[in-house]
Amino acid sequence: MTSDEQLILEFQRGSQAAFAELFDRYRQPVFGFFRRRLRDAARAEELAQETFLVVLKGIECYEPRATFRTYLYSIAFKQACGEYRRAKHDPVPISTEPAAAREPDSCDALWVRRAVEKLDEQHREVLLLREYEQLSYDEIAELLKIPVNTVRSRLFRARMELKSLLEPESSEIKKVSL
Amino acid sequence: MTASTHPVEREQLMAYLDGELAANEAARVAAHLTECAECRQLEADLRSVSTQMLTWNVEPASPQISEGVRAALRANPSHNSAKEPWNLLRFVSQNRIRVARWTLAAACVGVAAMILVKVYSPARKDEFKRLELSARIYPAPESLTGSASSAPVGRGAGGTGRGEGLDEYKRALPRPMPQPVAPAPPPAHPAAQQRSSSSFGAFAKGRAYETSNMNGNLVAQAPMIARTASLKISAKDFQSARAGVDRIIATFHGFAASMSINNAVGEPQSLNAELHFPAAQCDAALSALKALGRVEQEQQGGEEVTAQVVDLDARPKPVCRTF
Repeated sequence: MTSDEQLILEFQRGSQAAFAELFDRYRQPVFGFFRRRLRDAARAEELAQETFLVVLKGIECYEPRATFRTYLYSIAFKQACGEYRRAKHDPVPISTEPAAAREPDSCDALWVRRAVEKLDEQHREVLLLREYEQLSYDEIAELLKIPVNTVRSRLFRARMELKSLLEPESSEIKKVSL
Repeated sequence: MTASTHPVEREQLMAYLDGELAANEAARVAAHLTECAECRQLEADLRSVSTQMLTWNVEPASPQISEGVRAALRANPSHNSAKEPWNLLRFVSQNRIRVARWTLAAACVGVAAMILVKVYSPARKDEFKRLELSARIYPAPESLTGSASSAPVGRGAGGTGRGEGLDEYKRALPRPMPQPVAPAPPPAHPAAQQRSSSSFGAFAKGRAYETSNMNGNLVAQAPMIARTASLKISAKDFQSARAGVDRIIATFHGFAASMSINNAVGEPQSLNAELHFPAAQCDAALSALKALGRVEQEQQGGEEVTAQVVDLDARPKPVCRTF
């Protein structure tokens, strides 16, 4: 299978098929990146689309200094940070999200989602990048502009914190189910 | 868990589970896990957290994402950028410069070069800025250049036109060697005029023109070839590229015969400059100019300017004889 880096270079040389292949590979992961960070599914779709458009428009400037995956998620991360800033000034009510916009979470997924939302923001970001985007410690460090050791310590704390957050909810659910 | 009882730190154990350890470290952690129940419990906890997180799936992405991106892809002309490089300007963000054409000119005596620079500003905010350079180079044959590469020439940006520049360069150079060179037939391949100055030397030695020196004696003179180069370059930062042009002029002892910038509203910003460089510096100057951005197009050519040089050479003689 052709690597992401080969495909993006082929696209830089003019191959639309190469970009289409990259888009097929990362369409769902990028959407998932935003979907797990935003409550508005429609906005997550918009930002996912904008992320690929940034790649498309910036292809002339692309330099293979890092993996394509890191490059792509760094764009997505910047988009997400911009969205966070906008949300602080003009918060979108949660109720505006269409009920049918997304499938209802399962009980397990809901527990995890709520627990993740309670994590410290810095810890949560590292955890999400590791668990869902499957980035390496080095890639996370490069994306967040922090040392690798900081990535490691934040990730460990996030996991330990999440473990403690998940346990009581699990026990409560178990009690309810009983 | 302490370092004394656990030679493996907890974060190290986590890194082991994430596959982030080197082979020797991973082997050490694996060995420790076989004999430490506490670390095995931590391993189980960490695995459990990751497993539970996997239950949080998101719904499939909407097809609208695909439609939007594919529509933009179809509209992106990058697939034929080699054929229509200017179309890219519509799709690139701000602060990019397109250097379109170069022409470098160096005097026949091996000392002058000329560059034309042209820059366009963006017509829209999302367009790139363009920079066009065009230059003509007149490298001298080796048989005549002598120590031309070290000749003190150039006077910075805003210099004079081509003829005056040639004249100045010529005055700064030593006279041609007085030994006559036997005339020889022209080269078999006209393309030889487009060779580099070093390879051109052999051709120049084989073809000579007669002219008189200061004492009226006939001396042989090789043909003077004006090498021309046309180059299109795209750079990210217009101002940086603009400053780079000045820096290159100073570094390679050249001068700008002309330079103009167009900042008209609604039109692409453009910079047009004509630069001269010593022939010995032409290749280096070209390389430096190319480094200002991405080279979109490059053309080179040459034309004979022997008659112009002979004419320039003859001008001072009546003055000398008068005094």
